[in-house]
Amino acid sequence: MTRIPDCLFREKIGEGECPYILPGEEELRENRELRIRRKCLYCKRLLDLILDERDTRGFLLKVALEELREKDRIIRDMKGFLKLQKEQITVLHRVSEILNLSLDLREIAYVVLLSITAGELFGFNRSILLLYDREARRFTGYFGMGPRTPEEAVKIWEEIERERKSFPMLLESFTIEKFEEEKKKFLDILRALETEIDEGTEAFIFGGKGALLIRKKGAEFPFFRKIFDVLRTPFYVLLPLKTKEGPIGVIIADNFVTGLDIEPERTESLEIFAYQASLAIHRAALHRYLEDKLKELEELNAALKQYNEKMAKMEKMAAVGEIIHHITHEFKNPLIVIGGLSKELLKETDSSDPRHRYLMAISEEVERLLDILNRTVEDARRRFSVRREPVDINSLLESRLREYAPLFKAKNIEVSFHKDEAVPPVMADPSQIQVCFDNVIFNAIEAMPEGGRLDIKSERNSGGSIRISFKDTGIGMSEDVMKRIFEPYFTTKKKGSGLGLYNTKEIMKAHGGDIKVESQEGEGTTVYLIFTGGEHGGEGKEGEDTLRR
Amino acid sequence: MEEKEKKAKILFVDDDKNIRLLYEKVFSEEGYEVLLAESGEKALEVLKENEDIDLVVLDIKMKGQSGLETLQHIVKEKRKLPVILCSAYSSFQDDFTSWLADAYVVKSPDLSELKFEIKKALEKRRSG
Repeated sequence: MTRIPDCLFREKIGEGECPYILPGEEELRENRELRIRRKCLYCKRLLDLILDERDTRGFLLKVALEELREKDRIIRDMKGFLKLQKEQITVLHRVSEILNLSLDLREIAYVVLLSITAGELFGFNRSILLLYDREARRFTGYFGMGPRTPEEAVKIWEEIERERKSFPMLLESFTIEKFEEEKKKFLDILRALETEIDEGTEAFIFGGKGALLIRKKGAEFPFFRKIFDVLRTPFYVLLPLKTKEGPIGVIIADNFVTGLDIEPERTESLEIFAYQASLAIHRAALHRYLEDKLKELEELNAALKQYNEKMAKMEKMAAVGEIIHHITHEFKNPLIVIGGLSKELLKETDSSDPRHRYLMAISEEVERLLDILNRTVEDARRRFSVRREPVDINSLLESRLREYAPLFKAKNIEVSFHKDEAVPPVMADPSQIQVCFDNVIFNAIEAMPEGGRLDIKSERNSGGSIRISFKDTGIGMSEDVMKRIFEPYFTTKKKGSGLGLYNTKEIMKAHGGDIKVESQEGEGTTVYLIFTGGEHGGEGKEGEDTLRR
Repeated sequence: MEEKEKKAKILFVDDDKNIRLLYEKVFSEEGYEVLLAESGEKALEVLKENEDIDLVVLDIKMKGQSGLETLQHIVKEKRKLPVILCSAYSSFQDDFTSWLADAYVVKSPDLSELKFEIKKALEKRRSG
C-alpha cells in the first residue's frame, strides 16, 4: 500500500507542494481544513490511495464524495438559473416601466413584440399584434416584428451577436421611423390577417383559457387555419389580450425558423406579460380617444367663441343702427314741419318784405340740417346694418354647383338644377346666402356616402316667396334626429361642428326667410330654403313710384 | 271743370301734430278737403264714417298700429281707394307690404313730390 502523502497531515505546506493550489489561493497553504475541503477532496493522487472499494470505509467515502459533487453541481446550476432569473426580472421590470409610462400605442406595440421575440425573455422567432374591434367582431393587423425569412433571421441574429445588442439596449431603441419600417415589412401579413370571427371563435380565444398553443392538426376554427395559411408555420401561440372591459386583441407568436417547441413553464409568465400588455394598450387607446375628444371639444369651443363674438358684434351694430334710426326720426319730423311751414310763409310773404329774407334763411338752414341728417343715416346704414344687395339666387347656386362639381363626381353624386327663370333678385348678403347653400349641399353630400342623386329646384310661389329645394337620395333622418337638427352643436357626423343647420336657420331668419326640412329614414332628405318678406327687386330708389295695383 | 265743383277729399294720417298742421295748411290751400287722423286706428274709423274719401296719405312709423298694418286693412276693405305712403324713412321700401301702396314718398319740407303723387293718384282714380 502506497503511503498517503504527508501534506494531508500538516497545517502548513510549502510552495509548489500541492499542484492544485493556483496563484491567488496561497492562503490554502496555511490552512489545513480549508485546503482539505477545497483541494484534497478532489485530489486524484490522494483519492486513488484512500478510496479502496474493497475497504468498506473507502467505499462509503467514495459514495459520499460522489453525492457531494452531485449536490455541488446542482447548487452551481441553481445559482446560474437564479442569475438568469434576476436578469430576466430586471429586464421585465424595465419593460413594465415603459408599458406603464408610455401612452403611445406604437411604442407599446413595439416594446411588447420586442419582448416576445427577445432571446432574453420569450424568445419567439416572430410575433404579430392584431387589435380587436368588439362591435364589428373583427381583427385588424396593427404591428409585426421579427424576420420574414430564415435568411433574414440568420442575418438579424448574427447582427445582434456581432454588435452585442442587448435587450435593454434594443428596448430603448424605439423611434416612430423604426416602428413604421418594421410595420411596413409586415404589411401584407397584417392585411391578410384582417378577419371577422364568429361568436364561438371569440368565446374560445377570450374565454379565459389563457395562451393557446395551436397545432395544425387541431386548428378547429377558420381563423386559426387562416393564420396557418398566412404564417406557414407548424404551430403558433395565440395570446389573448383583454382587460376587465373585454377583449382588445391577440398576439400571435411562432418559431417558424427554428421550429423549437414552446417550453410549458414559459406560458405562465407569458400570460402575466399579456395582461400587462393589455392594460397598456387599453390605456393608450383610451388616452388617444380622450385626446381626440378634447381636440374636438376645443375646436367646438373655438367655433362657439367665434360665433358668439360675431353675434355680439352684430347685436351691437344692430343696436347702434336702431339708435341712429330713432334719432333720425325724432329730428326729421320737426325739421320737416319747420321747413315746410317756413316755405309756406315764404310764399305768402312779398319779396320786398324783410321777413322774406329771414324765412328764406330758416328754410335754407333746415334743408342743410336735413341734408346732414340724411348723409349721416346713409353712412350709418352702410356701416351698421347687414349688407343687403340684389342677389341673383339662380346664378349664385349655379356658381356653387360648379365649385362642387369635382366633389360630386368623386362621391358619385348626380346633380340636377331646375331653375325658375322668373325668380327675382333677393335683397340679401350674398356671402351669407352662399354659406346657407354650402351647408345644405354639404349635408346632402355627407348623407350619400355611397353616391346618389341631388335634385335642386328654384321656384317662385304665387305669394311672391321664393323657394329653393334640395332633394337628396341619402340615408335620411329618424324622427328623433329631425327634432334636433336646428339645435346648436347637434351633429350626427364624426367631424361635424353641429352649427351648419343652426347657422343656416339664423341667416335665413335674418333675411326674413326660413328653412324647412322633410326626411324619411333610408329614403332621403329634402331641404327648402324660403325667402319671403323683406326681399325686393332692388330698384327701390327713394320716392320711386312702385305701383302694385 | 268738374273737378272744381267737388273738392277731392284726402285723409292725412300722421302721429305728429305739427306735420298734420303742415298738411292741413298746404293741402287745403291746394284746394283739397283735408281730413286728419293721428293714428292708424283713428284713420280706419274716419274712413268708415266718410265713405267719400278719395285718397289716404299714410305715415308708416306711428305709435300703435303702424302705417303698413293700416295699409293692409284699407286694402282689404276698400280695394279701390288709393293710398300714398309718406315716411321719414326710405328703408320701408324694402318691405314688400309697402308695395301695396300706390306711391311711396320720403318726407321732406319740400312737399312738391307729395303734391305730384296726390295729383297723379287722383287723376288715375277718376279715369279708372
